[in-house]
Amino acid sequence: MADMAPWEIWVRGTGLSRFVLDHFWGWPIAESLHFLGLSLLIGTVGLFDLRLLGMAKSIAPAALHRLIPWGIGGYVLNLCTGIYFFFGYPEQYAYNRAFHFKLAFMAVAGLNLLFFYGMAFRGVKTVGPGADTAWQAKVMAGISLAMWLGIIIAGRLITFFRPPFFH
Amino acid sequence: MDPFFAVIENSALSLWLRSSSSLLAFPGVLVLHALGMGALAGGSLAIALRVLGVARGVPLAAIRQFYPVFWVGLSANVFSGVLLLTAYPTKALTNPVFFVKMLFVFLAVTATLWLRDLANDAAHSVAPSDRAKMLAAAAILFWIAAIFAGRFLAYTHTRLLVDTPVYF
Repeated sequence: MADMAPWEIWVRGTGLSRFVLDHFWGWPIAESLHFLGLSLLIGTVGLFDLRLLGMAKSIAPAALHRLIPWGIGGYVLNLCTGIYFFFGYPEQYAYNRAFHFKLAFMAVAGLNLLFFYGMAFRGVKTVGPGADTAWQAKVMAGISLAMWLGIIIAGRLITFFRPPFFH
Repeated sequence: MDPFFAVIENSALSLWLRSSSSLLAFPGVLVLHALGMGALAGGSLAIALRVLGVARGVPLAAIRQFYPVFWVGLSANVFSGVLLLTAYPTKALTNPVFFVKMLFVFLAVTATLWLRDLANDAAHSVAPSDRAKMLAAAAILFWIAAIFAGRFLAYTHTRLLVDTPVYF
C-alpha cells in the first residue's frame, strides 16, 4: 500500500477510519447490525414484492406496504454500517469485484424503485384483497426481489474477492 | 470429542468444503446461509411487526400465507448450517457461543410458530391479544440475539481444526 490514491489518503485520515481500526469489537457489532438490517429490508420489501407477484392475495398490497418504513430503517442501518466498514478498510471494497457487483445491483434496485413509485404505485394502491396487480408492477417486483437477493449474494462474497495486496 | 471431530474433518465432504476453490463450496454455503437468514429472520420480523400493530390493515389470519417463506428459510439454513458444521466441527462445537446461538434460534423459531397459532385463533379479530404481542416482542429479541451470536462465532472461537494449535 505504498502508493495510495488521494481519496484513500483522505479516508484513512478521518476520525471514523481511526475509530474503526482502534475498536476491535466495533467491527463484529457493525456486522451483526448489517445482518439485522438486511433481514429487516428483505423481510418487509421481499414480502411486499411477493404479494405483488401473486402470493398471499387476500392481503391488499396497500395494507402490506405499511411495513416498508421498517425496510427503509433496515436500509439506513446498512448504509451506516456499510460506511463504517468502508472507512475502516477502503481498499478492501474499492478494488473488489463482488463489491462492484453489489453497487451495480443497488443502482438497478434504486432505479427500479423510482420507476415503481413513479409509474406503478398509484395503480397498486387501488388493488384490493384477492385482486391481481398489473403486469408492470409484477415485472418491477420481480426485478426488486432479484436485485436484493443479488445484493445479499454479492455482499456475502466480498470477503472472497479481496484484492491480493490486502492479505 | 477430538476423535469425533477428526473423523468429520477428514471426511470427503468436509475436505471438499474447506479446500475447494469453487465458489459453490464454502462461499456458496455462506451465501445460502445469508439468504436463508433473510427469509427466515426477515420474514419472521415482518410477521412479528404486524402482530405488534404495524400494518393493521393486514388481516392477522392472512399472515399464515407467508409462512412458506419461513419454511424455505429454515430449510435453507438447517441444510447450510449442517454443511458449515461439517466443514469446521471443532471450531463451532468447542465455542460456547455456538450453543448460545442454537438456543436463540430454537427460541426464535418456536416463538414465530406459536405466533402463527395465536394469530390463527384470533382469525376474526383485528387486534392481537396482549399475550400475542408479548410473544411477538420476544420473537424479535430472540432473532436479534441469534443474529448477533451467529456473527460473533467468527470472533470467539478458540480452535479451528483438531490439528491446529489453540489460539488463546
